[in-house]
Amino acid sequence: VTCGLAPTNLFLQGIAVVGVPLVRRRVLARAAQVGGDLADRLDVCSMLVCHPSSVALMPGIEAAVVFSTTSVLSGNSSWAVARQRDRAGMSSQSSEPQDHESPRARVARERSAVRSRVANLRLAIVGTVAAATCGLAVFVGATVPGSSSASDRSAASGAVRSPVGGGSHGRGAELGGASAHAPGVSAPSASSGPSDVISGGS
Amino acid sequence: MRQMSLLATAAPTANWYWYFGRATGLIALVLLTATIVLGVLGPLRIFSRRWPRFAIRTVHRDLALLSMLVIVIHIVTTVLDGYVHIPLSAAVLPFGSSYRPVWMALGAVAFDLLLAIILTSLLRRQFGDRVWRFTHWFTYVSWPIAVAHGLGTGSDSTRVWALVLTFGCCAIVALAAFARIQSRPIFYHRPHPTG
Repeated sequence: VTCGLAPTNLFLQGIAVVGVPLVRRRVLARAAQVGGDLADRLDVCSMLVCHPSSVALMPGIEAAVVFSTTSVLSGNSSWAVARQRDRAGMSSQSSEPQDHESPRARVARERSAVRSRVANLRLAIVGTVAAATCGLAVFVGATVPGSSSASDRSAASGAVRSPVGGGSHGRGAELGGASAHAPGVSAPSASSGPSDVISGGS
Repeated sequence: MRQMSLLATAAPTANWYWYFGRATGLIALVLLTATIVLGVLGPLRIFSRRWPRFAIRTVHRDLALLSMLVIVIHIVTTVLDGYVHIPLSAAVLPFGSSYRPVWMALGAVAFDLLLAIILTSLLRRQFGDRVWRFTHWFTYVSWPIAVAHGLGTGSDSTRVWALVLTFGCCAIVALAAFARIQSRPIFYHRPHPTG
């Protein structure tokens, strides 16, 4: 189940070693570690709340969680580091005024500092969106009645996700009767519905 | 052979397409809301020295592109989820799908408008400011249409948390629009060198 974790961590460590400056390298390595721990915990949680077919997808979900957590943490951490250096006036990207600095150089330095902040914010937003999408997908999959197991689904069909007949809510509620055979609308039979997809996946 | 069967079981089932389709729909709503709020409040003096106007404009542009990416994922997962047949063309052609034609058509119209807004923004130099500004007004049309699409055909639209999220986004956009309307139009001018 956790086989997706090792390659993802290896990949992140590879990026950390090869392509980024020293500060971000440490941040990225730490973020990958935290993301791995989180994915381990999620693994236990997801096994408890999701239907069996999700186990096959756990490596992918874990990889997504590790990636998004890494993005969030590295974005936020490098942002924090940039702010810290900014305040201390240590960085060349500091927005604090320097002595004997021409106005043009000052504008360029401030714009550079802002661009750095925007880049870090962008990384944090992308990571947060990826994490929220994965989390929400697992959440809606685990909480909607009828999608947690084949038997629940068949019991709740029509109320949640039935393209033919029955039910006043959910997908296909308006496709009852003859209109279910309208062109372009497939009407899954009892042997080819999503219930079989679930049991096949497990 | 065992690897083949493992790959087969690891392939996303239709249910996962459905889950990700719903998740991306809701995330797209939040991202579009944030994009619109930044766009609406942009001409107001919400910028500071640490976050000047060009930074806010950049974040607005990044959020718009990211929301378009999420919407594309939403469309692809919806098409791949073969529970009902929804052709890819239905993403851009209203009434291209026989499944819930009205609600799907609203989604297609909202997507077309967003596509036009983003294309004219990316090619602003070629199209000119007037076309860009005129197209940008369609944001006020496309966002409510997208919300109606979500409320009408969203699998979670009747759930309390989804309703709170949707109406929370509506309230935020309404507040931003109200603030924009209340404020005087601001004409940017450079401070006079002498004073």
